[in-house]
Amino acid sequence: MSIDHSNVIKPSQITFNKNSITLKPEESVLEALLREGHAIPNSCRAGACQCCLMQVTPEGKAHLPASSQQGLTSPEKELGYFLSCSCVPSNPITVQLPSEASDSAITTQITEVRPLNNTILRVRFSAPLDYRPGQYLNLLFTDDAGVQHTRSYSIASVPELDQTTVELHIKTYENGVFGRWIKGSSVQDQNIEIQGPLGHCFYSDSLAHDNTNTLLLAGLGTGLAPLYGIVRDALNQGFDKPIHLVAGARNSNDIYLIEELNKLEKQFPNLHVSLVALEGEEYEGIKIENIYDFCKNLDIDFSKTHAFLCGAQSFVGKLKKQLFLSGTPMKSIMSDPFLPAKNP
Amino acid sequence: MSDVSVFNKLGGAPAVDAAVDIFYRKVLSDDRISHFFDSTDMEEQHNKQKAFLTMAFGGPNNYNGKDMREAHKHMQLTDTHFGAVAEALVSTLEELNVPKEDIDSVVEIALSVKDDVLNV
Ligand code: HEM
Ligand code: FES
Repeated sequence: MSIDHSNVIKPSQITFNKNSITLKPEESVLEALLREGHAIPNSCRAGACQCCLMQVTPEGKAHLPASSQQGLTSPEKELGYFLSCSCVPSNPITVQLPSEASDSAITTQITEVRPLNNTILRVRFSAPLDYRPGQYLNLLFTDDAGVQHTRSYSIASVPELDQTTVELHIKTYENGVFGRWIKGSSVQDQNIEIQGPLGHCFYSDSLAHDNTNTLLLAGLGTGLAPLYGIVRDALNQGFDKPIHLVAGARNSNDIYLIEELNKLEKQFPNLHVSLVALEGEEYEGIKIENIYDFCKNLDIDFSKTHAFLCGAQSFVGKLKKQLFLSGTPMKSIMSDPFLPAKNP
Repeated sequence: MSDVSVFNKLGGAPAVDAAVDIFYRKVLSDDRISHFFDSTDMEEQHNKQKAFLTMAFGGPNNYNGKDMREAHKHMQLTDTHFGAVAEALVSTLEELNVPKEDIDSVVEIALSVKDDVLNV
């Protein structure tokens, strides 16, 4: 009689902060890290609260047990997130806390700055970034006084369509630091530092195959930037069920990118673009209507809708609640709330 | 005496996933208690509902009575609040066609932490 060694469970290893830890039998990643004295947030230790969320390196994704990704969204799964309390890996993996994911910055040069309307600029630069449309970047720049600032902006471009050109839509304010910096002299030649990509609000190919029957993309102001990336990504990947893109603004003057959106709508029969503003003149098909009511009255099955919501936090929170109460599963609502900058 | 069997009988973590949206919708639509749950960070609240359901289903958890007291202390909960949550829980399980005996076990678990939750 011979012993079948394939059935003997070998202790697995994890690497965290360059330290290797050998797991005890049945020990979870969380337990091993806590045993070694690392401070990892946790609460229920039962896969429910998601406090203990961590991220594995891309090579390690295949070694995560399915139970460790139970309840996560498809973008989170794609990015290698897992619940460390529910993860007993079968092979060695390298793990980190989510916030450490992208600390290093790269430097690039701005190639184009063009106004899209009175306050919104299209900024383009070229960078070999591995991103998904809808994710965001941190821009680091130094103003005239030598003070460094960081601002987050969502990506409107699509790597498969725009190659290495990265596009951002940046709202400038009267006295905002970015506006002043970019309007300053010879800025075109100025270097800019970027960190990222970051964020979980992006299209995932699984939506074409699950029971999702509609995509709803709703954004206020430059919330349209990530949505423009996401919608072109979804169309480019062949999503052929109905897509409703709702671009909103306070005043109809502030609606932008109308020409591009119209062009896209003509090209793809399954895309329905709506422009809504709370006030102002009706032109170019812009409807003067409250965006929440507009979305409520859409003739779609909310329980089978997958939504992407981008814009100010109050808008995202309110529409998220509305959709959730109308039957959209929480896991099917991706959002990217824009948070106010901490310094002016 | 953690009764993991009800949790397993209901289907484990995926059962919690199936129940949480239904439960959270009920809670958010109930004027008696919605204000406790109507936070700006819906995802975080949603995850806390999952922690709640896992516990109520008798699943594995890391909470003790003191944690339950701490988590609920600032809300000054009353019998009415507790009753509303229990109702939402029961009607969620009914909607999912959970057998009566299992619903009874869940209610029993909820009642077992009532004093801690109400901080009495
Ligand atoms: C039926 C028994 C109950 C159980 C087993 C229970 C269990 C829990 C658990 C496990 C948490 C998560 C704690 C954490 O990890 O932070 C929690 C949080 C919470 N519970 Fe309960 N709960 C119960 C009753 C209630 C009632 C009656 C209310 C109010 C009507 C309530 C309101 C809340 C709120 C608002 C939170 C979130 C607190 C925060 O945001 O930090 N719970 N509960
Ligand atoms: S500690 Fe709650 S999910 Fe891991």
